[in-house]
Amino acid sequence: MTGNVLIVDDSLVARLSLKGILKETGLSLSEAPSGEAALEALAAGPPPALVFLDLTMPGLGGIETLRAIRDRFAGLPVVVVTADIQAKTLEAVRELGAFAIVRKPADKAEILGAAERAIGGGAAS
Amino acid sequence: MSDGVEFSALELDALQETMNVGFGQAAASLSEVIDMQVVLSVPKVAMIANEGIAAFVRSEIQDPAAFCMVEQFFFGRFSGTSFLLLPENEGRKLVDLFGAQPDPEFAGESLDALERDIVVEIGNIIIGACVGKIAEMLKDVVCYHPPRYLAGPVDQELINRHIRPGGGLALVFKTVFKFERQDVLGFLFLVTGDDTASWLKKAVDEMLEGLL
Repeated sequence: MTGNVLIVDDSLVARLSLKGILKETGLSLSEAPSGEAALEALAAGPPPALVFLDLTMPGLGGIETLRAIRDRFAGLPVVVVTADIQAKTLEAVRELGAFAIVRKPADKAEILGAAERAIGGGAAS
Repeated sequence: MSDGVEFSALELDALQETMNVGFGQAAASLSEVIDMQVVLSVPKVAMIANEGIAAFVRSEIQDPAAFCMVEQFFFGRFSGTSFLLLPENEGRKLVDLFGAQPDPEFAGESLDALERDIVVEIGNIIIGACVGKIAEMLKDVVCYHPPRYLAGPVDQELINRHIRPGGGLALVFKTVFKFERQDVLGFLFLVTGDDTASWLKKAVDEMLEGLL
């Protein structure tokens, strides 16, 4: 796999954890500690190949960030990594076009599988 | 902590993330029961002197007279006290959440009792799921005392009466949640005992080793 992956999570541990999982892929990794910082990074470009996005964040939450990404960067695959596993939350995330949803604590195989499908052009889940 | 345990910023972040997952589980459990989304906030973890815990909890709520509390102790290597605060005067909304009906023959008294039962049940679901998930992530198993309803006002005196005495610092986990559509705000606090600190630090460090 090639390309840049943007990891968006207010938790440093969560970002480090995802970076630890993804480092073996050879993908270039960048991170943002908030929804606002993520949108700034995306606006500054160049666009990443994939975004991993947390939902429960202070300030601009994950749902709002996902909506903004859909509006401004259509086609950019977003994998939501979340502890909020309520059916209605997951339904809202799917309606907003998330490529995939991974429940926290993040499972290595799920993260790698989602990255491979998103960047390799596989089917969303 | 009483035995001098201190937590780094990374360890506190890991605890906060653990609480995030724990409360996510709790919200999912509750939303299944009430068929309504529970809006979550970002949890916070802080080290606070034991004598300052009541003031910390009190500072989070505007009107202590408006809240009641469910208290539940949990025991394991991860042990402590949980406090779930819900608005006392919004009991009718909470009853509606569960679709419950009071006995019409004893309307006033019955509704009060029903409201208390429902507050305790909400506490039982949220505390059990949250504490249980945190314990599971830290590779522990906890037992619980039955939850107990405590009528408001949730002031410093009430909280102080229900915190284990002891010196030093305690870890306080806090999260705020809201029931979608009902505009009912609740708070969950977990206060760990002094004896938990060393184990908690070790468990978090082991978790970090596995993650990073």
